[in-house]
Amino acid sequence: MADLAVDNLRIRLGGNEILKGVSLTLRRGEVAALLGPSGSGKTTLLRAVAGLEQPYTGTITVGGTTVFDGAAGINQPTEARGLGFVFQSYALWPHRTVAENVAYSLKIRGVAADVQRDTVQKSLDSLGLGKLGHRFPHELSGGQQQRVAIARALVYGPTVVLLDEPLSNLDAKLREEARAFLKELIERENLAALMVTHDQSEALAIANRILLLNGGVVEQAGTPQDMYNAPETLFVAEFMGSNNHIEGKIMGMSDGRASIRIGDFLLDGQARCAPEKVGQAGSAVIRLEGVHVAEGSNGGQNHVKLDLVTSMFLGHTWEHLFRGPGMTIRTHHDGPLSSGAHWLHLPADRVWIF
Amino acid sequence: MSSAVAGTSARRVVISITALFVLAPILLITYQSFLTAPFFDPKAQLSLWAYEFVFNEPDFWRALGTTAMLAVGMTAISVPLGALLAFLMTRTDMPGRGGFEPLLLVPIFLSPIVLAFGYVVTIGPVGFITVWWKQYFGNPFWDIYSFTSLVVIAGLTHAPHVYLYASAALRSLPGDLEEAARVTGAKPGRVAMDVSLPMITPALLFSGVLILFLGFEVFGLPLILGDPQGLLVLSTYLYKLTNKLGVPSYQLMAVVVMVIIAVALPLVFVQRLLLRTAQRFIAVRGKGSRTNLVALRAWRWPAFLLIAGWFAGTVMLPMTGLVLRSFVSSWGLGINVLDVLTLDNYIELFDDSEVVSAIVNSVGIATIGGALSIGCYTMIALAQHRWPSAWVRFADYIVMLPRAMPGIVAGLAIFWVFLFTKPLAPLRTTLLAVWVAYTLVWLAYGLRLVQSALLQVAPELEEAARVTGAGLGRAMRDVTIPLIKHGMLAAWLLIMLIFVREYSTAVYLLGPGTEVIGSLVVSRWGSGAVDIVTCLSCINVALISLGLMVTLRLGVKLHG
Ligand SMILES: Nc1ncnc2c1ncn2[C@@H]1O[C@H](COP(=O)(O)OP(=O)(O)O)[C@@H](O)[C@H]1O
Ligand SMILES: [Mg+2]
Repeated sequence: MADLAVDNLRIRLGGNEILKGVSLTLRRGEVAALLGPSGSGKTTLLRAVAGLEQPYTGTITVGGTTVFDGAAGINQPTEARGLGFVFQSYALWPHRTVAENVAYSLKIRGVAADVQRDTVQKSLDSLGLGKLGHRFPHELSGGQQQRVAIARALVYGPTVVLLDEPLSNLDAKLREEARAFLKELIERENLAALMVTHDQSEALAIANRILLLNGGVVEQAGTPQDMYNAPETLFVAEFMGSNNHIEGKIMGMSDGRASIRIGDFLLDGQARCAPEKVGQAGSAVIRLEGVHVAEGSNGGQNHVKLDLVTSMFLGHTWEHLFRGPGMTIRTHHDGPLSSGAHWLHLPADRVWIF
Repeated sequence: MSSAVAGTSARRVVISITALFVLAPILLITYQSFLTAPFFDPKAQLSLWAYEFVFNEPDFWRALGTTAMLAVGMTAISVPLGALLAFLMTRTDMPGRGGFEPLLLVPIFLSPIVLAFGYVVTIGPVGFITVWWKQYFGNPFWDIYSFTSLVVIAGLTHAPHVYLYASAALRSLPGDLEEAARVTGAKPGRVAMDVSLPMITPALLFSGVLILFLGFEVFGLPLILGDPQGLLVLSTYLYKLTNKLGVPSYQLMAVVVMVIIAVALPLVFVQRLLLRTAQRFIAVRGKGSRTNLVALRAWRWPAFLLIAGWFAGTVMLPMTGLVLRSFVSSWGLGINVLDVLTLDNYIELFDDSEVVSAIVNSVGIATIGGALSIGCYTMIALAQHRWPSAWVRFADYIVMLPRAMPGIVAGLAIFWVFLFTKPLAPLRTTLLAVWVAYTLVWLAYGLRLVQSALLQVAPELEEAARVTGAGLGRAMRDVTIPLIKHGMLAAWLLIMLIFVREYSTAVYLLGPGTEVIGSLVVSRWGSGAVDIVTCLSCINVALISLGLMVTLRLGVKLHG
């Protein structure tokens, strides 16, 4: 049984439909990343699960209990849902110390003072905050504040935690450390975590499952590998990873294969479009790492000769920019290239045609 | 679901009580205006008689006309003067700006009636200055009891209201706009006229309407300065109407009140609209970079003298006169001040039990009453807090209504409500009635103070309490209220000042046990007890000064 189940959730805010029928399920030990561009409704979905926004239809089930059912008129208040929530801004109470922030949920539940103290201390210790209990939030660094927010959300033992862009307020270096720390914590505590992010690489790294939200609907859901390697729509293909995008005319389609013409270059790839699109304008997408510089080649299927425009040294690799009639291609390559034209290979199984 | 519903129903109860509290007096006044006799008179019948009577009174029309002219006249003085003060204070290198800053708002906190007494004892027919002038120059060129004096004094004393909004707007003006004009070759004066002034037009427009509105409400100044010449404005006409027909003519008073509300209400809504525009203007501009001040050069000292002169004329002159008068036994032509100096006035003051209880009551209603009022305003603000609902929009309009009731009107209305509602009748002669009236009159103001504190609380802080398991009430108690504690303290201090200053609201409620300094001076002035009135006024000013010092000391902004 799922620990969190959302079915066909719809929300209107300020007269606009923000979520247009979103469904998801989540189990303990799983991290689901809610991914999507800014304004796609990620925060709204998370807040609706917590009861902070009011959907007008759909159902939400937490640990087998229906907490919201638009049709049946069930709507449990936020405080009765027993969830953990980590706010994007952390929302630490400035008038309470770290220990008081963390202890609050226990105090509300009438836990005895000495048990409160022990539980809070244990929770702070496990997050590496052991000595900071007496400090006030403004006396902590960003990373420490984030951990206090997590401690506060988890201290009373919820199974489902909701995290709204928990890493976005950290600087780049700290973010990678916190990412690993967070993943480990969720697995250790056997939590069901729903985490909002707008950063696809963060979602790929941390999640067991990704839901890509676009304009209030789930565009595609699946494992990070599925999302990355088998995008179903142009939007998904472009949102994940770094891509080359080529416009052309779709020439033919058979057995899941299609071909697209750009000028007089014919490119084969995997068909991701309806058969009706043959003869019409279409797009080909290939990840940067899918393109190979075919040194010593002299043409062939899916080979194209383009001029090198510029090169950038990225540290662990080089990025080269090529341009030819009707297309601009970027690719990674181990080393620098001589100026002039080069043959590039775009393998058909790495090209998606939409 | 239960606790969410519990929270919501508590909100509804608070809003309903507020609505009842606001609407009952208004409905009672409306009802009374359509009766032929006071509502407690069994012979009272529904009719338009009172309207016909009042509208056929030449005195009423004269009062209405005088009110309109006074309002327009004082606006014409306050707005340019306030704007000039604001420009000099925020935008120029005028000397002494830092020292003037807290002083400029002082007149807002002084009771107009006390100011009026101050003018009477200095430049009235036998005032200190007048007497002195007569000795050396013959008859003075001014007449304190003329309409012109009234307009000028009202205009001068209301300029700080304009200063308040104009200076806020000027401060938020990005300085590069003015610098851009300087670079293209404009002189400071031109810059002020061509750039600064147009940019703060919304703020000036708003303060213009505000002054117009305050002009319709003034009571203390015309009561003291207009009366000897029989110059009536609507509020003093209302006050004089009390016994027009030999019996209490409630129906006539109710009609006048209806007229006052009918004029004030649209002005209240226009203000609300203009304030939004003005604030949007400020918000869009945001904080400007700190700019170079306009160099006044040769005009530095004349500008200083202008502000110093204004402050001397509006605050120092009447206050000095008042203090001096309270320490002399008598005054008139040919009397040497040093011969008549005495403490007797104050000593006698404390033999008068009514005066003593007025002082005690004033202090009590300001401190304890003020705290209770802030408690009520906080409840109302919390009931509306983050609740997207038609109830809240309704409450927003409801709380605006008392603003359309000048203090004297609200006091009268509360007096009637206590008279009309049998179970409340015994409370009419207690301070509770005065407190209710004060709380009602300052509802919109106090609520705004609390609401602006609530606006500072980030919603996630409250939501974080909800998700960890706190119900609505608990989250408010543990998170919201602790976070607005300082805002509430500041609001309490400001309300305290205003309750000490208040004089017109308690006029109709004055009786044994309900006397406060403000209403007592109004009634004692009527009986000619100048000694007591000046002493009480001085005590009033002393209390307000003390409060102001504490308020400023604690770093509370004088404008909410
Ligand atoms: N209270 C609200 N009223 C009206 N519109 C809102 C409100 N809150 C959010 N929105 C709109 O809903 C959309 C989704 O917002 P949000 O869930 O915060 O997006 P995300 O977190 O994916 O960036 C945005 O277009 C936003 O403008
Ligand atoms: Mg968001």
